[in-house]
Amino acid sequence: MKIVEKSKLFMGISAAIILVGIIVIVTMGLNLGIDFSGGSIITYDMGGEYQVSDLERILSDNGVFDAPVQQSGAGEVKNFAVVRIKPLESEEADVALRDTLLAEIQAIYPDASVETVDRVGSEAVMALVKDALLALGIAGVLILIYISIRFEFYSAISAILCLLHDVFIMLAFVAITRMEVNSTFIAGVLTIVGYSINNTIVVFDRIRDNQRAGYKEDMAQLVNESIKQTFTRSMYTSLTTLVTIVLLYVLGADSIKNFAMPIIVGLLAGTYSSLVIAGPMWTLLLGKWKPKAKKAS
Amino acid sequence: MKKQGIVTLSVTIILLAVLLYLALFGVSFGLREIRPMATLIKEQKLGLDLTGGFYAVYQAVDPTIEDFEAKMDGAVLVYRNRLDAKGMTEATVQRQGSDKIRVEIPSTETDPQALSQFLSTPAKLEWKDNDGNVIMEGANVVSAQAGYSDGQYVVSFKLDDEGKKTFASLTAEYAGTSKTITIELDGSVISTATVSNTIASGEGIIQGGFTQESATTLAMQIESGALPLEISESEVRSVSATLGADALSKGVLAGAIGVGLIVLFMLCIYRLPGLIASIALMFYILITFFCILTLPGVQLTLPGVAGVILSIGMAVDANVIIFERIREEMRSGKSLRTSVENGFQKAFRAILDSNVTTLIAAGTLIIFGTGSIKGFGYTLAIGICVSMLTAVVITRFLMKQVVKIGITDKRFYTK
Repeated sequence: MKIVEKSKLFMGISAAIILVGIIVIVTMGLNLGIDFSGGSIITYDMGGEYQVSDLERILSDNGVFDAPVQQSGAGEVKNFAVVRIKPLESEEADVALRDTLLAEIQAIYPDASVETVDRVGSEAVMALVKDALLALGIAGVLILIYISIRFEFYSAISAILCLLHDVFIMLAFVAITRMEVNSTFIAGVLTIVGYSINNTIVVFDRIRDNQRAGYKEDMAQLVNESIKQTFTRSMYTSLTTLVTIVLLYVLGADSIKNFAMPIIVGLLAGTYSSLVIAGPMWTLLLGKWKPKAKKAS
Repeated sequence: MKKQGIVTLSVTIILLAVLLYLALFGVSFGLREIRPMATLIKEQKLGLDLTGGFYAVYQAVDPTIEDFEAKMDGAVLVYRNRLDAKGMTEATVQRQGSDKIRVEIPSTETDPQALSQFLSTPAKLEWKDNDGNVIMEGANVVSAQAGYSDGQYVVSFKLDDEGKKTFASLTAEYAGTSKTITIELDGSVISTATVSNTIASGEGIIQGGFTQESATTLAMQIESGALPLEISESEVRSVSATLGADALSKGVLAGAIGVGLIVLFMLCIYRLPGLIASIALMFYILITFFCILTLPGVQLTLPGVAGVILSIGMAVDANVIIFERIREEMRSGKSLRTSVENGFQKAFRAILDSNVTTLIAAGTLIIFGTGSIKGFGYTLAIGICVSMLTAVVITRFLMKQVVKIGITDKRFYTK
């Protein structure tokens, strides 16, 4: 395995994906869910099969644009329609609009009824994101300290960079696919942060072991060998984890699918970064900041 | 030596079978009953998104007022009282962040809008004398009830001792004069009346053109107390019970198939050690759900269920690390006993360091996160601690028994 030698290619692929993601985010923004924008979510029980186009026409007739109709429901038959509406100027206007919409829907689908109406403020989720970011920031520093003590400083930096890599790949994915970003996505990111660091540590543990065993070849050789030794384990673990989450995606309800997809991407990114980015990144940092260490080995 | 190993191994497997049976089906002997853990979790620990129902978040309008903390705690108490008065004892009320209160009602029978209005009304009741001075407040009322008097719905009330005295002396002073006592609710006048007789009993009625419903509501609000500070509704959200139940059953199905596939995978790749890892995995699942059931404040939400299912996949990771190490040792020609010993020893550092790092992340989420972030941190922490216990301690214990029994043929361990 010549992973360190090909690190430019591996890092380039990641950098390209992240770059595209950033361009999409800057130009088009993220598809923020109602959790972030605030507004109301109306779930209609249409009483049977229905045409999304009918609903969309009714919505635009009433001046509601930019409100995607989402089909949902239990099993094969998707009887439910979920509509997200940005808040109007007053509560009364909201209620009036809802009444008009229902009346027009019932004109076409007599059995249709409103299953739920949710009003959502954006403050709650903003506070959630703020809390999550603060917690992650502190966690990042503590992890940095822990790895610095147990391994050494450059391993810690590489591990944190890999973590950031995985999160940015997830962000790029939801940006490019225009998937909705909501509070479950935040939970997904946290899951990956918890999971991904494991893989990286296992690789660094092997490097540490090999160093202690008196490995005196050059750095690239040491890293390549360590990655090779942990390769089977990384594949197996990724497989057992992917199996469960892919099953959740295939069998799960709509809300679980939206949660599972970014996690699948995050798991793949995590496996990728721990295998081909963590080690090379470490040699790169060592080579750049501690040239003596490289020569000495 | 061999006998001892067989006995210990059998006991462990029987114990696991009994525990699994108890968790799924429960048992009852006479009056005593152990209810199935699955049912208990379903009844007590499911989050709102799985049971259906709704939640509302209320925000304090001005967090800079005096005694803010105490007043927020007071408001939580008032909400609790109001919900209890409505018979919604399974509803939860908790503070969220510094200036918010979150109310969760796991019932799909209630109309969210009406209930939310009931909760967010301050219900500040004041009695004012002829000159507009406040003489008594809702806090002086011991009990209040809706009643029917002179062809209209009223709220009858009973005052505490202090209120009784004040009310008696004021009515004595005003009796027979044209001076009036005004009752105000949240700043608007609901009744103004002259006094005909001294009222010394401390009992009275409020007339205000009520319907039966509004009289009942006001009586409940007065009894539960007024909100000690101004609060606005920032979010109301309801979850359909059918969608939640559907999501749960599909999640459980995905989990069951996932566990099956992982067990199959471990058996195919690692054979006998794979069987041991599968036994440890069963213990992992049992202990994790037991922790979720018994630890206060831990709830299973939809992402939580997904998280637990995902953690099952991750829980075998430690075993994979250990078994790969054991194989390496065996390949280098060491004996089975030494390979197992060395494998565990060498794998331990990697498992410890990777789990401690994740535990640091989980700990920070618990300490600095709020709401669902905190809940997620708990689930993560439980998962890590339990998987360390099962994948390292239980697997090691069982592997030792296997070595004791003397199954040394390498075909049991590798392809």
